[in-house]
Amino acid sequence: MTEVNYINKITMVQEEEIPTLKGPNPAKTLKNLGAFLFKRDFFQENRTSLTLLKENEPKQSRRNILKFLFKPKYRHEPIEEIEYKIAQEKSKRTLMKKLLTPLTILGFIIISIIVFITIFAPWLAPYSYVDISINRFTGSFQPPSKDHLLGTTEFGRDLLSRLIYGGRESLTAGIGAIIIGYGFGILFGVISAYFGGWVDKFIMRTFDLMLSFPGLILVMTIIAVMGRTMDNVLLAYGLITIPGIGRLMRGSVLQEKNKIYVDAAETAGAKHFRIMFNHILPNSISPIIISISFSMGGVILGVAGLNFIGLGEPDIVEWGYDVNVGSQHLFSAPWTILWPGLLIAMTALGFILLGDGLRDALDPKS
Amino acid sequence: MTNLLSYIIKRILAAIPLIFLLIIVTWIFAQLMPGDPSSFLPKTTPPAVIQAFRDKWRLDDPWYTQLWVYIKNLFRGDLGESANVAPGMPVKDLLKVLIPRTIEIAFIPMFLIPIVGIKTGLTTVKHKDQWQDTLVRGLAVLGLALPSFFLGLLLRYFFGYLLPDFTGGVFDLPTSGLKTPGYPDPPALTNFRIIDCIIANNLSLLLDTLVHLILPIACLTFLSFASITRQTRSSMLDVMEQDFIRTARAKGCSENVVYKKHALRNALIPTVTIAISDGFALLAGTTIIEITFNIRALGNNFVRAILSNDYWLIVGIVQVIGIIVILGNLLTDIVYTFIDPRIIYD
Repeated sequence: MTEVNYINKITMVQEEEIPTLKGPNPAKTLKNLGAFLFKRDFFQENRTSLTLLKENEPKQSRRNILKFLFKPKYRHEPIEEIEYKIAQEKSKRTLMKKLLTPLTILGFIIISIIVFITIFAPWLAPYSYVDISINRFTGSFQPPSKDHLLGTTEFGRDLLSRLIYGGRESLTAGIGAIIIGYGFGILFGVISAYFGGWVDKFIMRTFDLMLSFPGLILVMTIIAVMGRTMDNVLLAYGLITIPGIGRLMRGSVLQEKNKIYVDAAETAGAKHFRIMFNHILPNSISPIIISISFSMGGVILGVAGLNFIGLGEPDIVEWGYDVNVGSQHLFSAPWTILWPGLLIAMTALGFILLGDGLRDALDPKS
Repeated sequence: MTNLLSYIIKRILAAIPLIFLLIIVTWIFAQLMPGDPSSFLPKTTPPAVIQAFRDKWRLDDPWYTQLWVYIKNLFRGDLGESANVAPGMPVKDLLKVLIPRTIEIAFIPMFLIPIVGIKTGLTTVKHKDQWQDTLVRGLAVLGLALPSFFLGLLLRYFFGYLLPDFTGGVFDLPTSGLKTPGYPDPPALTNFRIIDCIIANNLSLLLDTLVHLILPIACLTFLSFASITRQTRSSMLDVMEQDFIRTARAKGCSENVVYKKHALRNALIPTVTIAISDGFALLAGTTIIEITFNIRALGNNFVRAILSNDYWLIVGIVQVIGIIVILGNLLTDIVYTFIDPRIIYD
C-alpha cells in the first residue's frame, strides 16, 4: 500500500502543477529560449522534474489512490518516465552514499586545503616570494621563533612561507604531467586497440620497453639529456605516465570495440576518427578517470624525490628541495625536514585516499 | 617439456636484439646531450689529452663511424673513463665495485618484501573488517604515501640522535654509509662486502656491515610491501568467493588448509609477477634510499654523474641498468611458466 501511495502522490503532483508552469511563458526568458525551440519535450521535462516531489493535500491524493485501486488499468501517462527518473535519482544517491566514506572525505579535505593554500599563497604567507628566495648571510637554520613560526632554512629563508609557496611547483608539475600522460596515453591506447595489427604491435612493444625500466631511472636519464629545469621534470613525468595509461586504455577499448553500436556507427558511415573518439571513447574512459587521483599522488611523490636527490631545478621553492637542504643539517635542525616531508606525505595521502574511494565507488568489479 | 624448452630458448634469443636496441638507443640519447663527450672533460684538461680523447672515440668523424667505434669498444669491454666522479678511472672498474654494493642492499628486500606482503595480505583476508585488517591496510596506505627519503631521514634521526640520546649511547645503530669510518676494507675478491668478510674470516667487519644494512633494508621493505599486500588482498577476495572454496569447506578442510592451499595458490599468480618485476626494479630503484643513507652505490653515483656531467659514466650506468632490467624480465617470463603451467607458449 505504501508504495502505491508513493507513486500516486507523484502523479497527482504533476496534475496540479501543470497550470502554474503554463502561466509565464518560458520562451520569454532568454535562458529557456534554446530549450523551448530545440527540445521537443520541454514541457514534458518540466512536468516530470523531481523538484515537484513534495508533500501535497491529502484530499487529492486520496482520490487518486481510490482511482488507482478501483478503476481498472488506471495509470497516469508519464508514470514510467517518472519511475525511470526515480531510479536514476536513487542510483545517484547510492553512488553518493558509496562515495561519501569518511576516508574519501578526509582525502578530499586534505587536497582542498592544500590547493587552497597553494592558490592563495601570496595572501597567506608571512614573507614575500622574493624574501624567501634571496640569499642572506645571517640567520640560517634558526629554531622556531616569533618572527619565523617554523624556523628558517639556509640563507635565513622563512620555512613557513616556503612551505606555503612550495606546493605550487608540485601541483603544477602534477597537473601538467597528468595532462601530457593522459592525453597521449588515451590517444595511443585508443589508436592501438582500434586499428590492431602492426600499429598495435609497434605501440605495445614501445610501451613494454618503457614500462620495463624503473620510472625514476628513465626520468633521470631524460633530465640528464635535457637539462635540469622544472619544465623538463614535468615533461619527463608526463612521458613515463603514458605507457601505463595507454595499456589501461587499450584493454578498456578492446572490450568495447566489438559491441553493436560500433558496427551501427560504421554502417551509418562514420569515419574512423568519429567512431574512435565520439563513440568508443566516452564508453570506455571511466577506468582511466578513476586512476587520475593515484597518478597525481605518484607524480607528486616522484617530483619531490627528484628535487630531493638534487636533479630538479636548482634553488627552487619546493618541498622536496627543502628536505634536501635540511637533510644536510639533520641532527642540528630537524624541523627543516619534518614539515616539508609531512606536507609531501599528506598531499600524497590525500590523493591516494581519494583514489581508493573513487575506485571502490565507481569500479563495477568491487 | 620440449615445448617449454623451446619457449625458453625463444625468449632468450628474443632478448639479444633487445639488448642491441638498448645499446643503440642509449647511444642516441647520449648524442642528444648538449655538447660532445670531449666537452664534458674537466676544464683543466690539457689540449693534448682532449685531442687524444677525440681521436680515440673518432669524434671528428661522421656519426656512423662514431657508433661503430662505440660498439667496438663496448664489446672489447672498454666503457670509457670517468671524468669527474672518479677522474681517470675506467667505468668498467667502477661498475665492478658499484653493482655488488647495490645488489647487497637490494638482495634481502627482494625476498623480504614478497614474504611480508603475502603474509600481511593473507592476514587482512582472514580477519576481514577486523582491527588486523584496518591496521595492515592503514600501514599499506602509509607505505604508499610516505616519501622514501622522508621515512629514511626520520629513521636516521630517531636511531642516530633520539635513541642514543635517550639511552645514553647504549643503543646506537649506524645511520649512514656501509661501514664505520676508519674501518678497513676486506680484501676485494668478489666486491660483495659481506662475502668478502666471510672469506677473510673477519667477524667484526661482517657484523659492522650487517648492522649498517639494517635501516636501509627496513626502509625499503616498509615502502614496497604495500603494493603486494594490496594485490594479494584483492585477488584473495576474488578467489574466496568462488565455488571450489565452498567445496573445500564442505568436504571438511580446516580453515588453514582452505586459505593456504586452495585460495592462496590460485591468488598468487598476479602477486608473484608483481613481486619478481618489483624485485628487479629494486636493483635500479634504490637510488633515493642510497642518497638518504649516504651509500655510494650505483644510484648515488648515477646522480653524481648527472650533476657533474660525467658522460661515459652516465652512458655506462644506463646500459648496465637496462641490461639488468631486460634479463630480469626474461627471468620473470621463464619463472612465470614454471609457476603457472596453464600458460600457453606460442
